[in-house]
Amino acid sequence: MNRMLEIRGLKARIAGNDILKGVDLTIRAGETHALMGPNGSGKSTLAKVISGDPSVEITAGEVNFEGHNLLEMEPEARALAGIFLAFQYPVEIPGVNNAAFLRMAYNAQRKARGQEPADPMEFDEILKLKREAVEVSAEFLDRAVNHGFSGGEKKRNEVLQMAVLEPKLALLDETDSGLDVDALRSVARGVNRLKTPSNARLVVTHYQRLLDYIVPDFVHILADGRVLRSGDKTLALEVEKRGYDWLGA
Amino acid sequence: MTVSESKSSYAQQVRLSKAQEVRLGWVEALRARALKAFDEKGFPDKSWESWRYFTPSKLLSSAFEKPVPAELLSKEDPIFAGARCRIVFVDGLFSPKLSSQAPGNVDFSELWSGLFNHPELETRLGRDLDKEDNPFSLINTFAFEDGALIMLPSGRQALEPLHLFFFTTGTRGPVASVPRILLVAEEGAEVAVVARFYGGNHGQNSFENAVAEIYADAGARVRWTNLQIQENESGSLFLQTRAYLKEKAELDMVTVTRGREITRNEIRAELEGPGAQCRISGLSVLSGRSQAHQALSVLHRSPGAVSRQIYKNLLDGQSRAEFNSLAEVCPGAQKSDSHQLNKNLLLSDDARVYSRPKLKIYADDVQAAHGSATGQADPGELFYLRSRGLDLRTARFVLAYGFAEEILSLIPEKEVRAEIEASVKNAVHAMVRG
Repeated sequence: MNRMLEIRGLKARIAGNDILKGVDLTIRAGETHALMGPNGSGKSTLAKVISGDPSVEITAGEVNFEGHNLLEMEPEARALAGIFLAFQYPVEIPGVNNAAFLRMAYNAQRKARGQEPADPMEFDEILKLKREAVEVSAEFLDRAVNHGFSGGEKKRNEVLQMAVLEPKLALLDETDSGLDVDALRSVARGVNRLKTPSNARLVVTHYQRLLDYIVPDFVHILADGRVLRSGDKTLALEVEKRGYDWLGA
Repeated sequence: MTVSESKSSYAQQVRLSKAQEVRLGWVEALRARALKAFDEKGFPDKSWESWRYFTPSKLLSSAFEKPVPAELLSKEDPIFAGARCRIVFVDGLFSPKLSSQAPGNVDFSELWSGLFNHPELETRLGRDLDKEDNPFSLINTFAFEDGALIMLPSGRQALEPLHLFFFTTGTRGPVASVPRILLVAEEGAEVAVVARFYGGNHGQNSFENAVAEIYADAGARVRWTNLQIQENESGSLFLQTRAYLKEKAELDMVTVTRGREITRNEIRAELEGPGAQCRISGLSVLSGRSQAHQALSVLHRSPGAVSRQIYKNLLDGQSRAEFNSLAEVCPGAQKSDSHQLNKNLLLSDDARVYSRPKLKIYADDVQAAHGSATGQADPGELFYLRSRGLDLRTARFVLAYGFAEEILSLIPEKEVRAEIEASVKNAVHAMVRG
């Protein structure tokens, strides 16, 4: 299988603090990877690096996505190339209608592919199907983007955006935090429905719980800025039972 | 001649331009008192608390043309499309040709004929003259040429919004206009007013000095939208609003300001009756060297009254905005509930904001909150939008327009809101840079 994402020797810092200290990771099309690790291990930072968050400074290493040097691309170019980050803390944007925002993002993608923009009517149809696929109510669409949303609603809204944008590589950053079990299941069903042989997922999580519903092909334990161990889904269960200390993290 | 007069070309000019004919005895008496009060007061300088960040010295020494009747537009102009009931002023003078019929169930007329028909207005027009501390308001009282009267008897509901248009031509040079608006909503009456102060591309260096008096008697509801739009950064508009709210009366006022060199809105709302509610909000979209000054005071004079102020400024270039707001809870006005909020988004390094929310509380059982926030586009918010594929310029636009939209969404009339949304969108597009 061809390599979608390849990370080699990645080192990165935020506000002068070294967070990633040499990360290697390869993700192929069709795969689901889980990234686990204790607080402060650099999980979210890795997701930020891949999506192009300017608050992270890259000090060494390379990140390639489908043969392109990702580190040279602006965040919007990465998004248009097929990378999507479901934020741990989605940003509230008062005054911007959620449906209108989704259409802007959708049309930015169509424009990048040389396609005509979808008009509001056409987009309504698309949105209805996507919304149902990820179990989000229509009422979400009339509100301002994430404005006044509960923690759980924000996470669902991220998954709705993911459904609309159909990324090749989805980075789910602690999408389980703030969700009760029912919401977690529903969000996981949504994510699973979006799975195809040609796309891939990197699920960043603190707890094994989410991985009961989004089952990973690979589990990586990140500690102190390095991948300490990689394995299959049983590694996550092991961590659940024994904690991270057992790994020497 | 007093000192203040000799210093001001403006005061002499508007005084001379005042119609010479004697019209109504009580109005002439009011004018004489206003003139006397003005002569005693003079013009503001930086030592005046509410004029610290802007003194109109340049304006006061400018030369202005005397307004003459002029036709700027035709009655069929698209600008009037959504405004079936309207009174139109050109350079401060009433234009019968561009104005329409009153809606039937409401007295909506040119001010002078209204004052002749309603002698009881003697108790309303310029009621608080003795307390008036703004010289421009006093000037308006002694020099107003034309104006609009909106009167609703008890229980009457205006069937549709009433539109006021104030155009400035400036075709013969800068004009000084002094229009007056008087609204009286008696008990339980309801009305929506849309006042447009439009300079268009005209009106260079003109000066509109307007006064609006709003009387909302017990249980009356007044919705009021001010659109202060000028396509260039020239001309000045001062609008002094005086609102008097009786028991359970409600006033919702939204003011949108864009363009002009100087815009100054001074609102004084007196919550005179228990349970009165006043919500005033505003948005200024400023670029170049435009300035918008808000001098607001809400006085809780009775128990259980509610006031809300939300003002936002979107600033680019070397523009300036001021939020100078006072919420005062008078002795005995228990259970008062007051909020003041000012938010500013700076799109350039050279724009400035002076934000001064103030509270004076002379009662012990009240809720009063105030807040102010000023900043540039948040990098985290920009990244969020870019991570969805929007380019930097679009992301900036979305954030800036979203910031503005919160205020625009408060405009109750859908067509008016759509009109002003389009105008603000254009302005914001021009402001954001990639």
